[in-house]
Amino acid sequence: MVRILGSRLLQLILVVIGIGTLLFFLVRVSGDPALAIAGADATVENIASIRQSLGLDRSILEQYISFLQNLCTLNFGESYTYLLPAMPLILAALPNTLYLSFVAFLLAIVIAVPAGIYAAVKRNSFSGRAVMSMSMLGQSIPPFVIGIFLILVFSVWLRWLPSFGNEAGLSIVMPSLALSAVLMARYTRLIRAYFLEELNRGYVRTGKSLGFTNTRIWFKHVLRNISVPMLSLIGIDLGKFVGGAVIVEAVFAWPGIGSLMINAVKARDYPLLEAGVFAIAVMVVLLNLIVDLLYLYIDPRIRAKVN
Amino acid sequence: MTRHMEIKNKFLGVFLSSCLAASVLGAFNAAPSSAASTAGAKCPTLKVQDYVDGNALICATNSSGAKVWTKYFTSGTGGTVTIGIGALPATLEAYAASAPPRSYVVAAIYSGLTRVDLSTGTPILMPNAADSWAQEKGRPDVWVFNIIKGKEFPNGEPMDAAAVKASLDFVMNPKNNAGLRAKVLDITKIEVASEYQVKITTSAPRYLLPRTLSTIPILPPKLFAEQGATTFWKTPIGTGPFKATSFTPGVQLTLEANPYSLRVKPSATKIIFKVIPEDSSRMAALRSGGVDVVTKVPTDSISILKSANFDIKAIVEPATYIMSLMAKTGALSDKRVRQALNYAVNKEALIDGINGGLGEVAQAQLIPKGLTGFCNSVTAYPFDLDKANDLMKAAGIAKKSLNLTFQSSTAYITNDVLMAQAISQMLEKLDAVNSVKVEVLEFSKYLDVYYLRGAIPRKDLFAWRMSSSPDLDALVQMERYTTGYPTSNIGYSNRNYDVAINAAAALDVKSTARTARLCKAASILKEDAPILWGIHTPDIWAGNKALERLTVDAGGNIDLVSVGNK
Repeated sequence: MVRILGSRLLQLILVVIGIGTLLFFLVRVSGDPALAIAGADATVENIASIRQSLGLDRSILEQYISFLQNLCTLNFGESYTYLLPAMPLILAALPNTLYLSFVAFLLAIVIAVPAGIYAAVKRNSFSGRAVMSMSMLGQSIPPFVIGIFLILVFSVWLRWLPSFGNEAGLSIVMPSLALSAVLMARYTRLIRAYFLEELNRGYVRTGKSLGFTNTRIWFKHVLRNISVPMLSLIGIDLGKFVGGAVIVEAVFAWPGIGSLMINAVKARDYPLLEAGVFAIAVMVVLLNLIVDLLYLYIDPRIRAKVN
Repeated sequence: MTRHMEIKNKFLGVFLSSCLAASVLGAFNAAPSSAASTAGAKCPTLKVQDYVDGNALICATNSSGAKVWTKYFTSGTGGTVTIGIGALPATLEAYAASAPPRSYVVAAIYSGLTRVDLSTGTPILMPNAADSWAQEKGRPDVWVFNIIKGKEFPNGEPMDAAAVKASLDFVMNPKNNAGLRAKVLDITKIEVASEYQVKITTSAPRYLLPRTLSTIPILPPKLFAEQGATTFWKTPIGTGPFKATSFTPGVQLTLEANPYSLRVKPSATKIIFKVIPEDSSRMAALRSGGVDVVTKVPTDSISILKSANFDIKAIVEPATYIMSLMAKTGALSDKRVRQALNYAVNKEALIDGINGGLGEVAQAQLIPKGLTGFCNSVTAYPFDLDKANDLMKAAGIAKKSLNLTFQSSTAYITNDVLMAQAISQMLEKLDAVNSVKVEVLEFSKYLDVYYLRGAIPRKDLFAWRMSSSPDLDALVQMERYTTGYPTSNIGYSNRNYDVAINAAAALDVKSTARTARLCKAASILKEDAPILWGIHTPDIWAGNKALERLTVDAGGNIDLVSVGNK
């Protein structure tokens, strides 16, 4: 266990330094933030002065060394646009993104697991095929289109749900549905496929011959076995999920780090971008660590190997 | 010679005493259009204020005596108005820039020396922190501002000449990187003449100075110095009609009536700006009742909103969509080629086909009609493909020999990409043109090209939105085409043009001599055509019908002071 935690911690450090370095050079190649800050009517002298005050007149190497030093102390400097320390800004918005991601993820699992099992068990029925068609549809429509469709139906026509922001309890419903739709559809298809594969295994036949009910076989044994490959997929999906959240946040004006990051990219706000990417990288690595720990819990073979 | 305030010539009005107004206003609120004709029967001289005791009755007349607009409200009766906006400034900084959306916030929270009222479509200079202003006798380069007496900032510091000087000194100091510094580069000296009088000297006579100073807020000097700018912008105080009671950058700004307002107490008790960046989400928020007003309505949403019974407010922005033509080398160095490009673009089609019939054709000038310095005798290049082909032929351009590149922004100017594509197709109809490649630049890259920095050079056509705010006058924009202007660099130079512009700069805004010189310069510019003139783009707002006095001025700013919810 300690070894796993240690290796993940090392991984985290390497990932953060790697991503930070990549980002450091990428954003600097993209152009000069002093121009974005100065605005259209600024004088050349003004722009030079802004560059000096931001430390952008130093050599790239000097800037990089200073960036690495700041990374060690988690000090990303002050946002160029918000004039506030970058990390606290990200940390203030992060709970909203985590809340949205968590609810959307939960929704995806809660709906995809029974839907996938149902589609596998009723694979030759009309309803089973209907579930698969729906999942195909869900996978092919981008989240922002689903978001706009949900807004039209539930906010504009029915007026049941708020269309933007995070002010009321019901505000979470549409963004989380839009964000979870693709994942929900993908997991439904995968769970069905894994489930069908497992149903042909010997232990299922043995269970049946021993007189176990289908429910017991499906939920106690089959589901447990398919959860190992599902967990691997979830680990991979988590990174993509955060990317999807950025788009959905823009559609629903959800006050998470997505909108902050979009603004930071537009304004070439290096400190905010670096702090945001750092927070996302840490989040993804930590979530992957949780997935690894779940492996230990679910799969006794891995547990035995570690022990 | 002493110059009187512009207001005296242009603006006459009447106000009721607050007790009388209280009884009458209810009727006006119920039926403003009919009330206007009743109350506007008399418009005695209005001295310096357009709002009295928080109850507003504005009765303005133009120079020929005709009543042009009226507004009535009792302060604090307008409830809460929620505005869905695409973006808000990241900070409440007063000295960063003067374009929307920052201009909404700055005008709401702070007060400049003057205020420019655009309700009539023509800029009218109004008092704000200054009660009156005039040029010193015999010194057209010195302006004297008389500051309002007996007013203070919310922290108790007086609004006086010292506060004005401290604020202007801060903006002018290059170390402070104030975005508005470019507006006051001509100021050479600021003197506190008395407790309530400031003298400002410019390097040459600057008749636009009182107008320019409307955008530079006056702040409490001691608190600002104690806290430092960065801290002050976090919880700023000012003497504008509103105070910011909560601000979450990128999410929401709440404004409430400011008891320390210098001039006016607003109708609404609360104005809430909610940031909804996506156009479709913002329109949905209006339709679902989540907000009362939305900004930047896409032209394709107008018919839907109209059919859903929403109020649409469209104005022609004081900005011009133009394309700078790279006149340094190649075919475009010949003015006949540049003129041909102007003849080949159907500007009406840009308005009708892309902008939903909204906007105006630019009259081969850099400002729309109504603003000072506009020249009636200079008109747009008409759409004439035959003439364009003849000019190309005369310039010796062979058929299908011209390959042009058109650099455009994306989502910076209303319908910019669509207009770039349409213009490129129009230009490709010229016999001499083989292709026009549209190069769409993301905003930061676009700025690099504008400033002539970075890896991408400025190419044949560079689309630009030339805003006249806050000066609302032709001169500042026309100066961009004088020889050696830092960001023009398109190779255009005409000594006669430079002479006309420099002469106009030294003359009174209202003088006919100035207009004549600006007209001469405009004629030269049209003839030389270093620009492909497009249109004055529309700025479209929509609101629900329950709102009262939803008006958007010619600068694209909603009148936050008057608007209220029934």
